[in-house]
Amino acid sequence: MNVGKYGKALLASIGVFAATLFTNMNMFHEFTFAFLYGLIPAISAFVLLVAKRITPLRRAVYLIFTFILWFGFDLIALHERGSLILPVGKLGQTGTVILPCPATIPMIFFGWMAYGQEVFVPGSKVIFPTTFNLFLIVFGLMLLQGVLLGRGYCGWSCLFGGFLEATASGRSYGKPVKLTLEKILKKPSNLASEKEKTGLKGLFGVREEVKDVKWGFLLAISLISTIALRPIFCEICPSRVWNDYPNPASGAYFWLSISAIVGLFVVFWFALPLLTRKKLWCNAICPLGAFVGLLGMLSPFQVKIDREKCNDCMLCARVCKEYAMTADRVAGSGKAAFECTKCGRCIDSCAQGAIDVYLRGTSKKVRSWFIPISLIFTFTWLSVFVWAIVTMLPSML
Amino acid sequence: MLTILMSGLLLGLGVGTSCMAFCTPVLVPHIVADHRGGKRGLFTSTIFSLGRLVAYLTYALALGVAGETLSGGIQSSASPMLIGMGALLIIYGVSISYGHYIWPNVTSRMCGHFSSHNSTFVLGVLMGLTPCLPLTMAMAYALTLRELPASIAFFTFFWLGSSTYTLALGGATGAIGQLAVARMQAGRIRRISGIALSVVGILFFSEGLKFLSVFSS
Repeated sequence: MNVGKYGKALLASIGVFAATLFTNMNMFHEFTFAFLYGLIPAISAFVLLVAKRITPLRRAVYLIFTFILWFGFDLIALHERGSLILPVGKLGQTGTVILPCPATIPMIFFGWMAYGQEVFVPGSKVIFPTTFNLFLIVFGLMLLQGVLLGRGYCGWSCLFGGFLEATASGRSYGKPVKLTLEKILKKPSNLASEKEKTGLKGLFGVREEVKDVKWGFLLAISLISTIALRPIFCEICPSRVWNDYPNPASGAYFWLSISAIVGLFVVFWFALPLLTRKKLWCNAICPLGAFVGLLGMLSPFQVKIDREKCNDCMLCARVCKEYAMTADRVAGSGKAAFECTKCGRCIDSCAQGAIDVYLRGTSKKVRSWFIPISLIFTFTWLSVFVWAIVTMLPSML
Repeated sequence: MLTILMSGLLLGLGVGTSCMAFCTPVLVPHIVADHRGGKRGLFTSTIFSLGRLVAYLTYALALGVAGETLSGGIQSSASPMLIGMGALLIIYGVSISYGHYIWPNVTSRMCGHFSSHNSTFVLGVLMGLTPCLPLTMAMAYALTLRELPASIAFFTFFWLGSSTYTLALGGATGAIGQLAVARMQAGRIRRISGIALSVVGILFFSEGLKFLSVFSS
């Protein structure tokens, strides 16, 4: 049995290594570096597939990924324009080319559909100052990852998710806002009490109504971005707290934008995740998560509970940070909701071993496919920023 | 006169996409929330457009009578108009999305008002009165006419041209809304539309504040 498990993990890690090497050969222009780089996801895949728990290593990879990504992102900004402030009018300048952020895809995409390719020519109808090829690469990668993994993107390689992963780390206890330290530190019992089950249905707990905010938000910003000829979400994106913050010379725009950025960051990326240990931003507001979730309707991967093994302890619902595994779902179909990021927490928490990643519509377990594919995508995104650090940092020091 | 009429029509057709673009974020969620179906969508967008016509004729009348003295006033009214429109959309959006959790007694009455055709008409009037780029261009042209009948004729044909897209959009949106309701609960669609309207309202509100600071500085 164990030989099979290790053999499968070894095969998967070889696949991850080959895929990462293949996708990054052109990027790094040096075989040795690409070889060494490919070893990291390969080893990670092996360990994740043989380990008893997914979460610790996945979280470590995710946090390192986020740190390198934003360090690389800031380094590119500093290298290219010498400042982390986005200069006034920079987006409209002829010749400016920026790597499209995946969050802007749903916004750029509709503009592209409405106005055609000329929007990518800087100086004319600028929606986002990038080249058509760069847009296609990022769009293609997002599309592929979204269709294959759905919101698995959010749990493994979201550009913003790492910060929330850190602030929402720790046990989640079902009830949403825990204002006292005693309650934050209180560990859940093995079986949920009736009171805890009721708590799981609180307003900021698992009510489906709250989750709909993201659809309305995606609808509004997609419509507005299409007409405003710019990705409107960027003007309030909380990640701009540490990158591309608006220029104070922009006057009223600066104050409105910076207030929204800092306000959303403090509330949704810091305070609420810290207090609730849940990712309210990701499952209720994030337009990128909503967009990827839409693509994920085609994903072959589905997290679900084997009802025959389940003892209704509700631990999976309590540890789920996305409100994807709810009390109703555990008792009902056993399938995780649309918001599931396939982070593996519920799988780790289940003492009965009743939860796993399945091929949608079947009872075939496919965790050994899901994890390697996720890692390939994660390290493909990361390679751009590793490349930036490797090539730019030495000249800047 | 024919030149004026053609100018209005062509300007309306030419900048109609921008005009539609300004109204789309309000009209689309409004139709999806309460007026689903191709025919109903078309009818609703017609009422909305009639509301815009009333607003345009008001401008035509004002510009025809007062001329350039009013022009500056209209420009500076952009800020309070946007703030007011934003506030209204926020109330509308919150009412149809989460209103029954927050103020259940008031919401049922408010939702009835908001889903009525009178409300669509009022939305059209308010959107028409809110200065946007196409309207500013039309007003600049109307100022050069210096005659009330010419100004009214110009604005009517400008409305005709710019409404073409809005009507098509209304029909299409209604049909899409009808398709969506086959897969999703109507209440959920209203909720999503309400959230979208609130977000648009917040944007209008912040744009109004931005203009306010521009004019005051």
